[in-house]
Amino acid sequence: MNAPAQIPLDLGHRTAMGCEDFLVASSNADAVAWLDRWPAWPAPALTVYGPAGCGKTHLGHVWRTRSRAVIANGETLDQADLPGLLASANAVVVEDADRVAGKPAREEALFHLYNLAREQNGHLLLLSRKAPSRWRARLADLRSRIKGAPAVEVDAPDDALLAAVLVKLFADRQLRPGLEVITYLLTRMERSLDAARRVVAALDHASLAAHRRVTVPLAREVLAALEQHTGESDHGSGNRRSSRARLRGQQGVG
Amino acid sequence: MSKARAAADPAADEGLTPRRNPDLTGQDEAERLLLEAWNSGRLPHAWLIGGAPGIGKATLAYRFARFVLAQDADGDGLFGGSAPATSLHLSANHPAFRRVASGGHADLLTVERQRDDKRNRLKRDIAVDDVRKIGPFLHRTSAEGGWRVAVIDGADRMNVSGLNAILKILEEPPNKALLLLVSDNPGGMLPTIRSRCRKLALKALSEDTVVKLLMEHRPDIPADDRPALARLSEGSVGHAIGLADAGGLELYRAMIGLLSGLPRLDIAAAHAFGDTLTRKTDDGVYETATELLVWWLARFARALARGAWPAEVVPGEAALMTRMANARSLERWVEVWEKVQRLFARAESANLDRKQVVLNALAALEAAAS
Amino acid sequence: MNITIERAALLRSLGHVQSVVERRNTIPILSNVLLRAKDGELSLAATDMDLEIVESVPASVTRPGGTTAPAHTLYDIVRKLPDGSQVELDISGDGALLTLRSGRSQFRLSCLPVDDFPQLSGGELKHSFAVSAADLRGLVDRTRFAISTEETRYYLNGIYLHAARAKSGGTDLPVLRAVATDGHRLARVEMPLPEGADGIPGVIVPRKTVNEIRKLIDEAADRIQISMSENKIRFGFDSVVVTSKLIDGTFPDYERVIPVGNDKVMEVDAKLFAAAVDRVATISTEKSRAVKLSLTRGTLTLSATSPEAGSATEELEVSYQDGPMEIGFNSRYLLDITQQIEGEGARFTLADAASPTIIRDVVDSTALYVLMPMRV
Repeated sequence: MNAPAQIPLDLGHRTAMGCEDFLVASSNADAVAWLDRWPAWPAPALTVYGPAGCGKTHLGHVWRTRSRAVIANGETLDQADLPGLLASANAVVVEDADRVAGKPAREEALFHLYNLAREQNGHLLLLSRKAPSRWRARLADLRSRIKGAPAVEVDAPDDALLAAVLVKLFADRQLRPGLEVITYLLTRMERSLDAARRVVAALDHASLAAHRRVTVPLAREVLAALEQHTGESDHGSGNRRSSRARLRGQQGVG
Repeated sequence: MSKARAAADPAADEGLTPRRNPDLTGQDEAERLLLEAWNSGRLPHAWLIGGAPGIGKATLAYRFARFVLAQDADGDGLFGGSAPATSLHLSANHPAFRRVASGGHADLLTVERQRDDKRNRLKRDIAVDDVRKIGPFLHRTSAEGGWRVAVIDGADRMNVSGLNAILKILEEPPNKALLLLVSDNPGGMLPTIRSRCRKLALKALSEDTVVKLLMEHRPDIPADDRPALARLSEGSVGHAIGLADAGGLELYRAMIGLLSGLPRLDIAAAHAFGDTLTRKTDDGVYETATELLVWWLARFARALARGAWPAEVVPGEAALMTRMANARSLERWVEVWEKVQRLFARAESANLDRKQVVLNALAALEAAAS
Repeated sequence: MNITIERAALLRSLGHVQSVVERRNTIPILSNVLLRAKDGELSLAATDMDLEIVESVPASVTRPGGTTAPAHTLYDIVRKLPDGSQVELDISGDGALLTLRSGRSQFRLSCLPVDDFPQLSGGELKHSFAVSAADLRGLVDRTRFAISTEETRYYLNGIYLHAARAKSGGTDLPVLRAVATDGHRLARVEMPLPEGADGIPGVIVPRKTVNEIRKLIDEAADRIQISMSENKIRFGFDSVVVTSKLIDGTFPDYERVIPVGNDKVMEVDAKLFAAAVDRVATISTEKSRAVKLSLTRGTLTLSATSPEAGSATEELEVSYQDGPMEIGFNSRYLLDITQQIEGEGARFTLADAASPTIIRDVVDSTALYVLMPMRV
């Protein structure tokens, strides 16, 4: 039997999403350079693609603070009021843009949005997990337009970026663990920004529950617990489903 | 010549501590850099002020701290609206100056080595508990509505726990918080600390500046001695004062006088020199003289390697150096220098008879020069 | 400066202010108390650079002026003077020497200039409002037990004081709120928003300041003037003014941890409940202090077990109409909260064994406590 354990309150944290919080490293330098060039883009759209947790959404937020763009999502683009999206700032961020592929109504919507943007000298930032060449869109006109616009890849984070991200994620929670904790985590955690978020959240939780400081021993326990946890729930797409369910839960509360 | 002696020198009692000193001479370049950074509106949160002891590092740190603290909460500052500041100077009558000088400014925290009262000297390290005060200090709002400044004097004297405590703060400094690290040995600090600070390297003072400062602050030192002290101190007024108070110049003259006999030393004079050094155990004369001898040998070896004699502190040095250079190679003299250095170090750790150690060192020199 | 003052009055004021002066201080000015005399009053100020206490006492002022003198030495001298005596304080022309005369005793203390003394009370504090001593006591007493003492989350090391709107049962009233949490429990106490307090910034008052003002509330007259800015807070009692720095951090969005969907309600006599918890907890391990609450219709069973000490159970009659459930809590937290409940009944609103529970006084809606369970 386990010893009784205190459950902590979920006090949350505020995510800083400003430019000054964004961290430039070799893995995302190209994308940052393209965004900096806005509005002098050679085409009405720019695609930024890379694996989950590489920082695409954050890049989108950074660009949004400058362009005042509206946010749309590829999965629901067929239901959106397309002229309305462009009306406010003539700029739109389309998240999960690759999810239009294979759905005629969505492909059609993105194609129209692209044309509208071109007519009005507006801009689209398309965020995607896959490179545009691998989208498999059926609509040939859409394919050619997306392929004709610049696309830039964001790599999985390198050490320097991941370290800086950990520091920032801790800072979002007003935590300032020592360098030894960051170094310890870097060499042992899964190398993605998503994993960084999970690890920082778990460490925050564990430290609050036990009223302990964020130290290397605590980090060791938390990493061990996380590994066990992923091991248990890692059956096929189970992992993904649970993270989506979590997201819905959050939206319900917010 | 050590930091400990400089801190205990009479000038400290006269109020010429960095915290109370309204003037800084000979560091215009560093002041200009700080002012530029301030006027740019993007002041780095952490600075590492490095350079030799006694050239004004801490004085500059407190000078900048006062300047920053005197910019009041309204943002305009007392230096006239948004016009860029042109000097870090603050009058000694300014309220911020007074409170910084007394240690009573609630937005300034100083962390430094504490006195070891039992041994009557500074402790070896900065206490980690003192370093840990910086975090809570910066997590409180400002008392006077403006910046909060922490000065870490002797930053290379933090131990591992202290370094970890400071790293946490350097990684994520709060808004309107300024950390000024002062160190004689910035190169000896952890790269992770150095890389998080803007570096500011202070240059040694010119001899003229040291002479002028000696005249202003220590008029009791004979005017004729000032240029020699300035040269001997290698551009450090703190070191020059330390030497003056330890009778360093007389010792240096006596030492050069004795060595001038090389390749043959006057045996009676060597014994007399040894007696002078060891008459008392706690007056610092022995330490000063042995440090001077090691310093002079290093200076000689450097000059020999460069192929040009340095400006003389006392007359006859160049001729002496020429004679020594003719007797042995550079390599040999470097060995002698190292040997003498080891001899003095071993004497301290093994508690050897000091006079005998001095005579052994002189004998080693004589053997090499003949 | 030259004044004459009653020993008892001087001693009481020195006693108040010297408590904030640290005993072992390497910086001389911080060991000193600031003395200023004018208009028939002597004011005494002391600080630890985070907070400052200023107290004014009537004195016969023959020559106004000021200086700073060693606080503990001065306090010790005045303490040892005979009861009922008069004390004369005289400062030499250059302000460097304080002479204290009383009866046949005479002391000379070296002083430091007024300008050297820390400046905490300077600057305008934009917002100002008055509260009654009883209201302030209510805000402080019912929240300060929940303040975190762990330094990593420094922004929880105080009481978050701010203006809010209380929305419940169709009412929507402006309130002044005090909130404290240590991540395991949360206390939220409110009172009607005093006039002048709308638009105040949300501030985190450090624990030490909270404890200092708590000591002063009992001696205070009815009205306490609170002034604040983004940087400082000031509590004005009759003759004592406390000015303090604040915690420079962001208090968490606490509303998100107050559950809205809890549907199981238990009401229990707070005193009987506390006494039973205290008894049962005797058995729980020192480290966890866990007790288990088992609820069935009309009955609460408290239990605790420990591998070393054995086990304990106690039954209580409660009002509970929902399905059976079990939930564990830290007994110390339960006692901390139930001790704040002045009325007879405590109402627990629960969801399940892993979710936050709300505890309130049945007859008093101004205080709300959230307590996280333990896994038992």
